Amino acid sequence: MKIVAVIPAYNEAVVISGVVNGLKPYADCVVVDDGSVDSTGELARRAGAIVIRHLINRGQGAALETGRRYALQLGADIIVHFDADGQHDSKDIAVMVEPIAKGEVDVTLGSRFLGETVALPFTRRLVLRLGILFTKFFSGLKLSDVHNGLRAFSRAAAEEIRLTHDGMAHASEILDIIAEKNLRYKEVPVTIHYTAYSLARGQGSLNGLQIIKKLIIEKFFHNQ
Amino acid sequence: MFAIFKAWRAYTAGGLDRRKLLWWSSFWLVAAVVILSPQTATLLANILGVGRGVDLALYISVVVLFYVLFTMSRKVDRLEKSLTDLVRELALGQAKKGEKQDGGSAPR
Repeated sequence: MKIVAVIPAYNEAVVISGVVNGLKPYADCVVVDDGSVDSTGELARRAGAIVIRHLINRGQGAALETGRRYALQLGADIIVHFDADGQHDSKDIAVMVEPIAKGEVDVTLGSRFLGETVALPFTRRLVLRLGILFTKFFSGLKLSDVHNGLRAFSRAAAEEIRLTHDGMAHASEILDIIAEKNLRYKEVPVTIHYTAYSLARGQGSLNGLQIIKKLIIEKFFHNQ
Repeated sequence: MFAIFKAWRAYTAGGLDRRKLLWWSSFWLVAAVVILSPQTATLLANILGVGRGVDLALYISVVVLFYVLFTMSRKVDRLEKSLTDLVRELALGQAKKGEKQDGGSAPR
């Protein structure tokens, strides 16, 4: 079974080597260097990842879509989305992959609320709760954590999930597609490490509002 | 007057097509008339049920501006999309080339 981890990275030189080294035992690493101006790509390659380089920064959604296509070309049986900032735990890969390998579900979604969360600030908890309500309202999926970057897809599911949102709205887009195509999904408890680094790099809480705005506009102009 | 003259010059030089020439000429002509005798605008405004000519100009410009804004944002969206597609194709093409140089060896 070929497991490919797609890691979108934008200026993550400080942590990328550690992330790739941690993941290597569990999956083939494909780092999509999204136009970084630091040495992210070079360091990832040296750590043993395959690096695909966007010449200019196009956003995390765009990077994940590029990674998806490449992973399918590689012949991946399971594709895992993994954040480059070190907030995920590579040991969780096995737990994420298992239900798919067994054929129980098509998609597994990491949930920090089912799992153990290390140092989650209050405001972020609030924004994530709002995100849950929003998702329930629009896509009808009942989830405990909607913007978790750790996900795994069977090959068949990955072939269906073509991302069109270049920015951060892809997280909600994935859920929309899961609902629309009636894919079997399951939430899996995962550990998130809220380090000072990942908090600084992650989305600010205000950013969440912008994502919601974008998705609402999308509901009105549905032309992709 | 000067602007119309310039538009004609551009037309004869081949920089403007006929549609654009007509468009610009009439635009400047209307502008000239309205500036030289504002009561024509008021007359037109009264026909349309607006109190003053200035108000009419304001209303029209707001509508036009919003329309332009709308088409522009759609255009930017399309551009962004094609830019992403382009960047992606380049990235994937480059990755493929890299594989060949490695002698097609399986990565990892």
